[in-house]
Amino acid sequence: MGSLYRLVQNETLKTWRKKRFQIVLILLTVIIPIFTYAQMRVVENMREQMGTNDWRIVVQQQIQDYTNRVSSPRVPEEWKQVLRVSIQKLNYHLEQNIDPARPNAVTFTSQFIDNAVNLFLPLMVMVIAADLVSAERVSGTIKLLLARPVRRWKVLFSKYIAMLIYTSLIVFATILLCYLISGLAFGYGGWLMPVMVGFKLVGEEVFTDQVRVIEHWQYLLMQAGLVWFSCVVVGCISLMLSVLVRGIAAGMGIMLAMLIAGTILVNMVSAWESAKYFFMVNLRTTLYLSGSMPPVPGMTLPFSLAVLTVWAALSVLVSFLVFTRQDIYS
Amino acid sequence: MVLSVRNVKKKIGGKWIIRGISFEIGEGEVFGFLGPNGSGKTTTIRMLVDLIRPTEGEIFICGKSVQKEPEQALSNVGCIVENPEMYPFMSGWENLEHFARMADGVDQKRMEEVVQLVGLQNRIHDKVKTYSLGMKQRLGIAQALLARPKLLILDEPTNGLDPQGIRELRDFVRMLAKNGISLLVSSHLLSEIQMMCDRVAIIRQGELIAVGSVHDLLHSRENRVIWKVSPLDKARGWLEQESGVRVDVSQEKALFTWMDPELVPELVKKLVDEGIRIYGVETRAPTLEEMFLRLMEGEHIG
Amino acid sequence: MHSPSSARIWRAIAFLSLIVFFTLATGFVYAVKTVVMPAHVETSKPEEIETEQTDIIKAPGVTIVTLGDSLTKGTGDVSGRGYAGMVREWLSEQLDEPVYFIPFAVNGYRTDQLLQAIREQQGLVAALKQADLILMTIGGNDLFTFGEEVTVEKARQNMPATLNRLDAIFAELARINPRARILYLALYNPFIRLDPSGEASLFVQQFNYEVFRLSVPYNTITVVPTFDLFEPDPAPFLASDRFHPNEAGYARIAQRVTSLLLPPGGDESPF
Repeated sequence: MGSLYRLVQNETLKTWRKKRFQIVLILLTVIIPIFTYAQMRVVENMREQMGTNDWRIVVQQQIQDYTNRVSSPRVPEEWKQVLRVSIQKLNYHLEQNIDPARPNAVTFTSQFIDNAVNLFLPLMVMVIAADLVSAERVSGTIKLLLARPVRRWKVLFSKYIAMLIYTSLIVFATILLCYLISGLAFGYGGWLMPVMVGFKLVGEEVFTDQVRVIEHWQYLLMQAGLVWFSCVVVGCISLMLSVLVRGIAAGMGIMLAMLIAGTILVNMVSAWESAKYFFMVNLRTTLYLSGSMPPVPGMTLPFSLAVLTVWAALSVLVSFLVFTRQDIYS
Repeated sequence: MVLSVRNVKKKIGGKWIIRGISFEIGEGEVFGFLGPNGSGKTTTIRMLVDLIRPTEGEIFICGKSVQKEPEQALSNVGCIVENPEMYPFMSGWENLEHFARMADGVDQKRMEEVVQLVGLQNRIHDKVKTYSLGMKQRLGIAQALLARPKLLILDEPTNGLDPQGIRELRDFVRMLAKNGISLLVSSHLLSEIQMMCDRVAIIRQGELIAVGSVHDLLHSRENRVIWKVSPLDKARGWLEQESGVRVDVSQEKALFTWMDPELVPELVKKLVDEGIRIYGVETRAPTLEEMFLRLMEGEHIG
Repeated sequence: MHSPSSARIWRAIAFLSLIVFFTLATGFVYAVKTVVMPAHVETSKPEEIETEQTDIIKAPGVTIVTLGDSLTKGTGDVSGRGYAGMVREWLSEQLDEPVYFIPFAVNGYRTDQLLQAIREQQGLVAALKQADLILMTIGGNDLFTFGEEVTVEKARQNMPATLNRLDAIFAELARINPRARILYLALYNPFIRLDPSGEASLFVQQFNYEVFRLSVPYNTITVVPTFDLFEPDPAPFLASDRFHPNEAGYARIAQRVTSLLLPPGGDESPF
């Protein structure tokens, strides 16, 4: 009765007609040009200041800048670690004669989703996931939805699938729009640009023995996959809040607070070991790809993925338990 | 039996909200569910459609337990719980599509049928947020009828409707019943129930205080008998002595009593014999309102 | 009465999201494999990939490259410019052409580190090749180790090796860019007040003299004295660490540098 396929169709169409996804698209088309412009200014400033676009000079200068910051007594030790790792990597790029960040549409996209995974993309996912259940409750339609001859777990399951569908589409739309918009400024090339992966971090030491060069489209694909996974986890947690919390605003508020706390924590938790068990601290899994310093020393990709998976699994479990047993009063 | 409610109880936060309710609804019957706000009416209705799980007792719809086989049981029910809430950002038709996908065997032809039935053809493709309350009500009914239910549950269907709308609804309910659909109509306004329903249950503080046919409830009990007599005091004294007669109020030139109308001829004779002059005796069937009030009063005193 | 849009929208969303879902899932698996089991992932060798090289633009104008230690970085100047930054500002005002500035000075740099950087760091070499003016200070950290007790005795021991490396640095710079004007700013004595015998001052000037001797073979290299700028009382020109110049101190140094760059006619570019 009421096959899952048709339920998923329902949820997908509802979300579409609620224009949530369209709002996300609009937000993206507003935000991305701003960042594109900012990036353009950075490149232009560099050129204006140095009179050259030789990436080696720019990178070298960056290394020198980082070195100076590392030697400054005012810079906190956690930052210094991050900087030292960056310096080693930049040096390796110079040795290998590979530009770490030539500005083009692909590198911009790559950078954008890298930075967006901590807050911006989770917010976009939240816009859709956080009211999948609570909006039905607020509008009262949940009574009709659950009084139909369909098991409750199927209804919730179809909402999870809809969340998955739109999360995937959000990640895809972000990448597509980023590429299209930034390409106007930086040109659409860069798919075949070499990128280095496989930096291994032991303590503060960067090991390059397993570094391999891949093409940038491969790198972008991997990044997209990791970012997508983080977004799905955020979607699962948002959906759970949507089940647990009555109001749409309350659910979104809780999620927003957690995400913002996460972005703050990421910058200061290295002293607090157990913070690594928070999902928010683990969202940026792409840093393992680029070999950057994780928020808490010793964190690895399998660790982060495990933490995220546990959070998502618990969220799914809790939301199903609550949703299938809950009495609907309001 | 289309619906059978067997000793259903519900406890919320250590308090018994529903304290054992049982009733049955037969095929093609229009059943009124009556009670003031907060009496447990809505909670009971929600238990019928599996929105709330009873603490004790069981509910059967067409022989299937709502608790054990919700899919089979609920496929026979259409309902509007409280307000006819639909998705405002979708058109009426899209809403119907939505609920059609949640049931088996509802095709486009059936959807067009119910739209015709509730008379929404002209506005069905407009967004629901542009609908008036009456139109939303009709769309709600269309939705409830989509899957050809054997039982239709309407919770406070007359809320917010104008007299014209109420009249239409009443005719509509009658028409559905004629087609073999059983209806459960809840209300806190007795006049509506009285005109629509075959049988009623009256709920108060989580308990049924009366179940029966409207006819029985109206006629089996004592009726209001109004005596226009003179002298009033003397008549009152006589009437109060009679068993089976309760004097309610005495107005200027009339005594209002509760009694079996069968006693009237004998009493008339008695009063005349006592030299009391009788200008008129009027027997009035009580409205459900009056009956309800009396039942309520009884509760209070009891 | 039929609304075909539902079916159309659903089909489009379902189709697209299915493709996207599997693409992203593939990316995810690929990424996990790459990070967790790098040995099992097939990738092309670095040599096989052609590096897309864009043309390097050398804009017309004057390029200043700064080298060396904290003095050139501008440590102690609350405005963050240091003498190098001030010289740059002055040049920008003087010239109609744009002035570019590529700072490479690092706090605590010693001659061995600078020499190694010049020999190995391609970015630095590339920058030096473009330079029209190179501003540098180096050697101070070789002679006096900050934090330890500063004695003339120790400094004197460090001097020969320091000068050797400085000689090599001059040679490298002249080889990499035979055209650029190189200004080496000599040492000053921030401890004049603690040095009544004048032993330290004598040593500093001796070192400056030796540097000057090293510079003689190169006509592009000028050793610029700074010793006298901090006489007789350096205190008003020193930052709170009593060692680095403050803004006023750097301004004095900058003034000296700019006077060297002033063309005889006044309005002609010195380059």
